[in-house]
Amino acid sequence: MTESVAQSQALPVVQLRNVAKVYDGQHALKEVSLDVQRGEFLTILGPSGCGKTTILRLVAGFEGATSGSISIDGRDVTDLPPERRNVNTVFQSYALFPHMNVFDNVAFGLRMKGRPATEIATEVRETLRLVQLEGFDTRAVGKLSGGQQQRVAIARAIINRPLVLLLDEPLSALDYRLRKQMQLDLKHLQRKLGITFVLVTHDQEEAFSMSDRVVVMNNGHIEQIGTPVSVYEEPRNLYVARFVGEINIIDAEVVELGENRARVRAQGLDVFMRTSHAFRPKEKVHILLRPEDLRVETLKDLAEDPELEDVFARDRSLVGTVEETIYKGATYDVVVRLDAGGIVTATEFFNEDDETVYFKASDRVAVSWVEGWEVVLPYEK
Amino acid sequence: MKNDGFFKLAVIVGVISWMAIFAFVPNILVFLASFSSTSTQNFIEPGFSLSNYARLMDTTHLSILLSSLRLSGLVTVICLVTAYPFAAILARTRKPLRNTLLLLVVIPFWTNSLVRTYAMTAMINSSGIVNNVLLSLGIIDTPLAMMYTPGAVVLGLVYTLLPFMILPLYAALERLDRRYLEAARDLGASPWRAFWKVVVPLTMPGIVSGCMLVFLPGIGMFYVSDVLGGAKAMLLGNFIRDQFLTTRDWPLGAAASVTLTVLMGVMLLLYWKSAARLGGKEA
Repeated sequence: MTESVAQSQALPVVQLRNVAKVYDGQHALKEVSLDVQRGEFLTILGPSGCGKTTILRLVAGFEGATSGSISIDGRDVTDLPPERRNVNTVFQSYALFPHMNVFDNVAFGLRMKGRPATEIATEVRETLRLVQLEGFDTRAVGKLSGGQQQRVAIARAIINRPLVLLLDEPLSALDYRLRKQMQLDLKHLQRKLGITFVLVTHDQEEAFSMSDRVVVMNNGHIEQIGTPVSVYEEPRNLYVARFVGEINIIDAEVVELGENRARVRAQGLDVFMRTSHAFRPKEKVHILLRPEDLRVETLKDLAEDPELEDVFARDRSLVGTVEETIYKGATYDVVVRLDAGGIVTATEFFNEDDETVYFKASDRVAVSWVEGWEVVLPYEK
Repeated sequence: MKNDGFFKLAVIVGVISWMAIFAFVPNILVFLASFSSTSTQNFIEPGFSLSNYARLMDTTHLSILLSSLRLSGLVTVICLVTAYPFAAILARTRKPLRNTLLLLVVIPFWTNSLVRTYAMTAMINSSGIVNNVLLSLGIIDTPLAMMYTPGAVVLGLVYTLLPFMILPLYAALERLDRRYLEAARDLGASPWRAFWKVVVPLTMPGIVSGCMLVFLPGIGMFYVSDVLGGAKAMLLGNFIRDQFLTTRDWPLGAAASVTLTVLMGVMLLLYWKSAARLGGKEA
């Protein structure tokens, strides 16, 4: 008995095996396989039309898979209708029943299960308290604010204690401030309930701030699955690198191979870089650098201060001219046109000690970074 | 600019006087007539009494009223039950085919409904198409007597009024967001329960307006009863017509008309209430 419990704990709560979906001859989803672990907060991230919502609709049962299989809690549900799957959905536009008040909306699921009225009343009240909507029972859903409707939608779903809660861009209709608040609330709620959350969004910041794991999708297939940190810092390809934040891409060529590293030549650079890819000599590659990882110093300062020159690692620096600076509030971007061609953007913090230190257009500068913070990827068209 | 103002004024005055002369005044006259009495000299003796309404409540008149309501109710139910699935399918059909189907619903309007009612006799009389087909297939030996029965009147009314049920239902179902249905299924409702708990309540305005558009004409369309039902007056419409043109009892006919109008008012109120209940989103 205990053994089987332990086994079911280890089993992924949702499994997609080579699932494809075709609409009107177009592949919305191409042979996707995905495991959702019990109790995790998984986010499917991608631009509109990448198939992320299709995955959610297939798991919920609103659509049938063209091929492949889906199982929930170890049971094949590929051909089961939505009402026979132990998952619930929070819809993008909430889809609250307009002819029912808050109480009736939240009670709907339990009523469908035929639970006694007194029990339903207690549970609805408890769930409304959980989403901070105590006393809203008799309000008409059309008269609620966006944030309140959102919370009714969440209450209506979680009251059923689903194995998995599916959230389809649940925060996209809310304004920035409220969205930030709801991101935190959702994360806390997930911890508290211990329910597996699968959220779909096109907002990478939202994905990173809430999830245990992120699935990056593009054009009907999965590009990368991993923790927010690994997806951001070790993007598997250019698409992922570009989608999850700003990135500088420098074309380069492999000169020599070492163990877990390669000597790379580009833009006057000729250094070893850390990489797990198996490259061949002469192979063209991309060097990826996040703007916030870059450090910029003027050539003048470097020449005048030998200490600075020591910590700055001149051997891996790129020389160029500042084209413009862009004020971002807490930070500012320095756009540098490199002497060897190409443009890189570096994000700098303001210097607390000296507010006058600020790059100006036409400043001659060198750009560098800490060894190992770069990512080297195979060349893509 | 000045001319423009004059044109606007002319149109407004024109419409208002038209409505006043041909709708408002006649209705007031009918209303007043329903409280008057009749005499040998005049069709109407002015006065005030409720005797016409009392006469309307006597057994013969009441039974005409009730049987007319029953007949029209039956027609409404048949229309609703046949139109709902059709409208639901129509609302889900893709654009080019959907427009064709809508056109097919509307085409009968291009022919006068009296003419179509006469055409119906060619279908169902003893030597009509239906009987001929059934005879030649050997399903029946002698022609069925379908003409001049309540069934023929119901058939004629359903045929004439079905589009008036389909169109408002279609409008309501087409506007219905599919996500409500998905949400209901997601929360554990079977298709059947999702239909009753979500689809029916959300399309109630369409159901009520369709029923009104069928039920009220179903009481009044006297020519359908004349052509298909024979001499027997089956509808309140026949009764009212007879009071004015045959029996010459105008006050009684007026009282019946007013009753019908009040009935319509009550139903409009019901419609308004059901629409207001869903008001939050629509308004």
